[in-house]
Amino acid sequence: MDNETILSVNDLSISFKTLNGMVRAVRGVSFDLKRGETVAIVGESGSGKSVTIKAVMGILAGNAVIDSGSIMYGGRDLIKASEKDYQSIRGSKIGLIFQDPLSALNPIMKIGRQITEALRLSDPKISRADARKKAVELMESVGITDADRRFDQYPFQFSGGMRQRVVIAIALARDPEILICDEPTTALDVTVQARILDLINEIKQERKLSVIFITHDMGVVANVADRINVMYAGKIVEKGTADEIFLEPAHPYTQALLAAMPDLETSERLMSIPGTPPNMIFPPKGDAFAERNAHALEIDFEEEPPYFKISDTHYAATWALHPKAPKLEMPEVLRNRIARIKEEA
Amino acid sequence: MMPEERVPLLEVEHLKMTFTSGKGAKKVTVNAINDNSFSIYEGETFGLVGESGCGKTTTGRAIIRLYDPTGGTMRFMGREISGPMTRELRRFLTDNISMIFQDPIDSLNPRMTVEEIVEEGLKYHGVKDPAERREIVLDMLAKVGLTKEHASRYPHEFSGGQRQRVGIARALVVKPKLIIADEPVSALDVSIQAQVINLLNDLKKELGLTIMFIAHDLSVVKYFSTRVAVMYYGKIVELAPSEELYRHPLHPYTRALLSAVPQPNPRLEKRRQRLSYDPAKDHIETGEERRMHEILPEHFVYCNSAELEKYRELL
Ligand SMILES: Nc1ncnc2c1ncn2[C@@H]1O[C@H](COP(=O)(O)OP(=O)(O)OP(=O)(O)O)[C@@H](O)[C@H]1O
Ligand SMILES: Nc1ncnc2c1ncn2[C@@H]1O[C@H](COP(=O)(O)OP(=O)(O)OP(=O)(O)O)[C@@H](O)[C@H]1O
Ligand SMILES: [Mg+2]
Ligand SMILES: [Mg+2]
Repeated sequence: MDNETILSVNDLSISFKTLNGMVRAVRGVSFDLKRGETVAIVGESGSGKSVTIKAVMGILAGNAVIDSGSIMYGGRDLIKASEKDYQSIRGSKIGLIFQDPLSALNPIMKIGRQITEALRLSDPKISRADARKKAVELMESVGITDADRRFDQYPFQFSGGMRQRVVIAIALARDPEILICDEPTTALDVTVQARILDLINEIKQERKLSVIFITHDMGVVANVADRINVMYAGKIVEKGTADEIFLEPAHPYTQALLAAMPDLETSERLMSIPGTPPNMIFPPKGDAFAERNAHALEIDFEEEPPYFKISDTHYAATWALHPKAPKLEMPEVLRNRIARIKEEA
Repeated sequence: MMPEERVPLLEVEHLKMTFTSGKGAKKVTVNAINDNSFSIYEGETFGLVGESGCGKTTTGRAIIRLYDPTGGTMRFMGREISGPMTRELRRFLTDNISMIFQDPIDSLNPRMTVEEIVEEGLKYHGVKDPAERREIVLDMLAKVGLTKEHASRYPHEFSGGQRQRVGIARALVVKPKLIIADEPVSALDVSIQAQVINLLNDLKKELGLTIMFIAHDLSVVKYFSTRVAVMYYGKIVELAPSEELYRHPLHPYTRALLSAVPQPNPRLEKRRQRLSYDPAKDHIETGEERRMHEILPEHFVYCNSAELEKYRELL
């Protein structure tokens, strides 16, 4: 049953009512998640990544309006699910690891107890001793040293990075089918981050876990993702396998994002993206990235580009792919990097 | 630049910074900086990396004397700056060393306009004439890519990258000799990070700046720095020219750190073996005290003789 789609988001649009008008945060997002794979959502701050997955978890803010779309999971549309339905899904079926680890922990409950409670939720018959043993193992597996002693400490006695590891241990203790990680490693050191990425990759393989991974670090994406969705101004502007996005990026925004990040070989001037993302109360017509794209075509400012198919797995919404459009020149930094990657292989 | 021609701007010797909190049995001591020595030369970018809490910010703050170091000496332009604080020394420091802070939002006063924020330093700097100050400020804003119109606006009206430009303008307007940039791009989106890095690079060339660049993104540090020091728990464990450090990382912590840097290359990432650092296992204990050894010209590693032998074999 590989290749089985377990979650499917279709044409999802979400707005927020604000004093200044409706913020069009998510505009027609579609993506699938298959069993055992990791799908990444990347993009600039404010592009709608968190709002998209909050909709999946049924935890949108009160001023949110779902304008259209469906989120199919377990044979039903989660958009129509009641809060009661969600209680049997959140945590046990779909786990969530947040950007901010503090809000996810109970400040007055010992760390160990918070993990054993989660274990008990998925295995009510587990003995006290077994729960403790399993919790300590989980703590060790997320890189908390001296776990046996730390079991009896409170969150305030942990550093930010260690709290984030506890949050991950708690999410894993419920043994979910889907794990959604919203920038889980942004606040962590590279060494700790690497350990957590390895851990997530390992567990994914062991348990056939499916993962939705949100980040704006393209290095992290390269590590975890099987498939990648690139978001800009509320839309997925490009989707493809990791190789396709990194080696054949087609949308000017994807190219710019990749070219803006130095790797350990970079010596050329970085390509920066001028300007700022658009105001989503008045989303620009046409391609939302056009005003920041030096190679934008006239039509980019007028008409929204459809998805052009590049391969069975690779699509991009950019007029640059129209047969009549002039060929898009990739930024030099990126061209050099891609040549290097291909050479190594 | 050949090593002989270099002029040290800042010389730090045996710098120590200990924080104590609590009393009696609950007393806790943190060796935030544990006996570090290094120099920063005129015109270079000196990168300082290491994991969270290893003492990077504390090092920057000790240099501008926001903290009184527990031990060691520091000289700036040949003058000792680690002695007792006087008004005159404070003045000397603020005239010559500026800091750019990590968080572009928290570090700007929300009630001041951009012009007022950038101008503030100039007032202390003794530029008395308001018209002259205004001219200098607008000139500086233009250098960081902000216009006259931006000058009368407040920080909350700006994007993260623009705010960081304001912070840079504020740091540069007094024409300091040394800029301490404490994670100036960590809080920014990748696309905006690139704007700020390019800007710092241009200004560095144009104004002949010397920069101490603190960060934990090793790709950015390598891209930006002339030499890089790696710090672990308050101790500089390796120091080398940037290229050299990345080509021949020797200290097991440096090796672990480099093996963990995420790279935008899915083929590499998917088969990558990461090293972990275990201070209890990755060293040879002979009883001999460790110190900085120059294993190759300009390349220093903190070790004992037995480890030095081992590292030589890695070269
Ligand atoms: N409750 C809300 N009311 C009004 N606007 C909102 C609300 N929540 C989110 N938004 C807006 O929706 C847009 C998308 O926000 P979202 O949190 O999804 O961004 P993101 O891609 O996760 O960014 P980041 O990388 O910074 O986390 C932003 O413009 C944001 O300001
Ligand atoms: N004012 C203080 N009082 C007590 N301890 C302090 C103080 N400032 C820093 N420390 C401690 O000194 C150590 C070094 O902190 P520092 O802020 O220099 O780390 P850093 O390397 O800048 O970390 P980060 O990457 O998280 O910014 C830490 O253990 C920290 O808790
Ligand atoms: Mg978010
Ligand atoms: Mg710091």
